[in-house]
Parts: sequence; C-alpha cells; structure tokens
Amino acid sequence: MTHHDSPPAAVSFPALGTTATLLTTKHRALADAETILLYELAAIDDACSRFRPDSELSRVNARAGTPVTVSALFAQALTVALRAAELTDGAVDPTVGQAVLAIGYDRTFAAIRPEDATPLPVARPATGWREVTWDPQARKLLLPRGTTLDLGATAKALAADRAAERAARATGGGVLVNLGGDLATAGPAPNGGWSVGVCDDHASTEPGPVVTVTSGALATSGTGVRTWRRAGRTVHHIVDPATGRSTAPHWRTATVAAATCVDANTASTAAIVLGPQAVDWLTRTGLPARLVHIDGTETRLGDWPQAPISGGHR
Amino acid sequence: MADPHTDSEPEGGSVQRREHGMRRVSTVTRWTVAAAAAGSAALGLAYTQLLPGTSATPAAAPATGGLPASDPACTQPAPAPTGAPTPVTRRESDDGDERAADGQGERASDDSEQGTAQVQPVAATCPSGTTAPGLNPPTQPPAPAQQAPQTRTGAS
Repeated sequence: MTHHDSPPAAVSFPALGTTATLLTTKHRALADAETILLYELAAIDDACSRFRPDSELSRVNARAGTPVTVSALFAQALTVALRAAELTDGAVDPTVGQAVLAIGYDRTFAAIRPEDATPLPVARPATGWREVTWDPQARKLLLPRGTTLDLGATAKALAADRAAERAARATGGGVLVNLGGDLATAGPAPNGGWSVGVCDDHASTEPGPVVTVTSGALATSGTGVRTWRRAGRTVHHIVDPATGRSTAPHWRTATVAAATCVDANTASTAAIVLGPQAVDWLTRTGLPARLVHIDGTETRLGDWPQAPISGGHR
Repeated sequence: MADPHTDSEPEGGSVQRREHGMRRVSTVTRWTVAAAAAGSAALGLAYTQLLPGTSATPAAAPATGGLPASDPACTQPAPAPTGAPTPVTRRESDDGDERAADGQGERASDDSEQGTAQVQPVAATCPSGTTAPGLNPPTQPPAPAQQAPQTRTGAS
C-alpha cells in the first residue's frame, strides 16, 4: 500500500563498520524509529561482533569444544546463519571464521593494512555447519574444538529486518533500514515505493540503475569493496568455505530481492561464492536478481527489471 | 492320631520344602528382573535410533537450517521449555527490562562451569517430514524507476 506523498524523512550515521540509513514515511516518527534502530544495532553488535572481545560471539568462539547456553538474540542470529548454510548447501557457512582470520581479516577493515607482505598461511576450509551441535529450544550450542563462527554474512541483514519491523510497528509508518547496502522495508511504502539506486559500492554516488520496492528487501554483495593486498595478491572479505580463500573473481556485484533482508543477503553472498553456478542456482530460487560480471556485463534473473533503467542523473 | 502342628518329624520336612521353594522363587524373580531390565534397555536403544531428533551423531543430524521459514516457531528461537534449566547470565543494565524481554540481556554462559547437561544434538524442531523451504521472494519484485534514489544498495 502506498499512502504517503511527501519524500520520506531520512537520517544516516556510521554503524557496524559501514553506514546505516533510516527512512520513514512518518516524519514525526523519525526520532522514535532512530531510537529503535540504534537499539537494534547495539544489540546485534553486542551479540555478533567478532571484533569485540566482549561480544557474545567472541565468548562463544573462545569456548569452542564446550557446551554453552546463548542469549535469545544470538540464538536467532545462529539459527538464521545455519538456515542460510543449509539453503545454500554450505556456500554461506558460519563456520568459516578461521579462514576469514587466516586471510588477514582479523580486525576491523579500517585497521587492515592495505598492502601486507606477510605470506598467506595454508588455506583451511571451513569446519562445516553440519558439525555444529545446536539445540534451539534450549539455546545450547556446542562448537567443534577449533571452530570459529563468523555471523557477519547474515547478522547485519538480520539487524535490518528486526529494526525495520520493530520501527514500523512502533510508529505505524513505513520504514526502510539500510545497513551498508543491505536494506529491509516494513510498513506501508511511500507513494511510488522506495526508490533504491543499485551500485557496486553502497557508498558510491555514481549514477546507476534505480528500482522501486514496495515491500521486502534488497541486498548486494560484491568483490570490489573490502579488498586488500596480501603477499602480492588481492584478497577480499567473501571467503569460499570450501577452499578457505577469497572467492575466485567472477561476479563483481550480486544484488538480490527477497521477502527478508536475511534471505536477500543469503542469496547475494551465495551468488558471489558460487561464481558461474550462481545463475542456475538463483534461477531455481526464483528470486529477482541482478549479477554484474567482472567485465561489466549484466545478467538479470527472475523478475528483476529487464530493461536497463537509468536513474535520470547520469 | 498325631497332631500335625506338634509333630516334629513332619514339621522339619516342611521347613526344608519351604526353604527350597523360597530359593526357587528367589531365583526366578532375579532372572525375571534381569530379563526385564535387558528388554527395557534394548527397547530404549531401538527407540533412540528410530525417533527423530535424538541421534547421537552430530554430523548426521543437520542443524536448524532445515526449519521451514514459513513456520514462525521454526525460524524464531523458541523459548526454553517451562521448567527446563536455562542457565544464563543476565547483564545489569539501565534498560534491563526491555533487553530481558527480548532475551538480549542474556549472554553466553559456559554450561560446563554450571554443571548443566551436555548439549543434545537436535535434528529439527519442526514436524518430521517437513523440508527446508527455499528462500522467500518478495511480494512484489523491484520495478524500474526514473526518479532519484532515496537510498542505495551496494556492496559494503
């Protein structure tokens, strides 16, 4: 439903190592919606940050090999991550943490040396999500010894879903939450829908295709951001769980639309990992998707708008 | 006519027969108890193998990824069963009420330190026979637009 004629109210600020943007159709509700978003961001950071030694994730990883009981939010984040692993047949696997650390992503991206001559250690494939022992009812988790979880692929998307849903419910208006390009909507969209520029880099101001969404979510994954040089080769943050190395370059960007940001992010991340197999896989999911090859050619799948639409600001 | 209750000869034979009978009853009882215990153990083992969600082999038991997303009870973490031990450490916070309501005031706690039971691998929390659904598409797919973007999606 679209009921709102004036442009949405908006606010942006740094969060989770990226940019958070909040749009609301109810201008007077912006402050309340922002409070909810800030709360959700703090909660997900407390639970799932792998850069904070005091986060719940760090505590869980430190106790690998020992049964632990986790918080409700962590349980939800883990459940979401394991579901992503199953639905992608392990292409998006939360047990990839050790491999991510091994390629040098062991600190916030801002703290990574852009040129690191240190040789890469021998690649270690992910432990494998099937080795995780998880009882969601009792929220009891047992990681195999030596396993490090990385919930980064889905936790940010989960935060967007939660914040959008809660803010829309609290304010009664339409809400869009965008966390570094992973965006979730909830409540009634503005007239004409939410207009979203589709770029390689979420922080880019370059012109590009624009689409409107009236519900659901969009997420984009890519190999052109969060890259650095390690031992003379370019590495990036998306690791193939099967090899323990940055995924081989095939797609520059994968953008997927889904009912939730978690599903969109799961599919976009899987597309990058799957490389050329992503076309068949995405086609089977039925999700609208736009893939940009490293040579710049585009592949549009599902109900993604087929005609190249310019934003009018080119 | 001899009184059977006062005749010593017949009484001594009766005691021997009674003791012999008691030994036989005792032996039969022990064998019955042993057989019942063995049968119970065998049946329990058989049911452990047959019932879903109780495999003792974590690798063979998929985690919660197979939960149907369309079932909120499967995608949302279910609360601990009533009466079940939930050893959690609650964080003190000014806004503790809201966090506690969300379960976000709780942090990972080491069960081994608190003497709670080992984690039991759980294959699924949804009815057996259900399969993992696919990723859910949006109600409406993205539509082409000519207007200026209000926000942007892109890698980060």
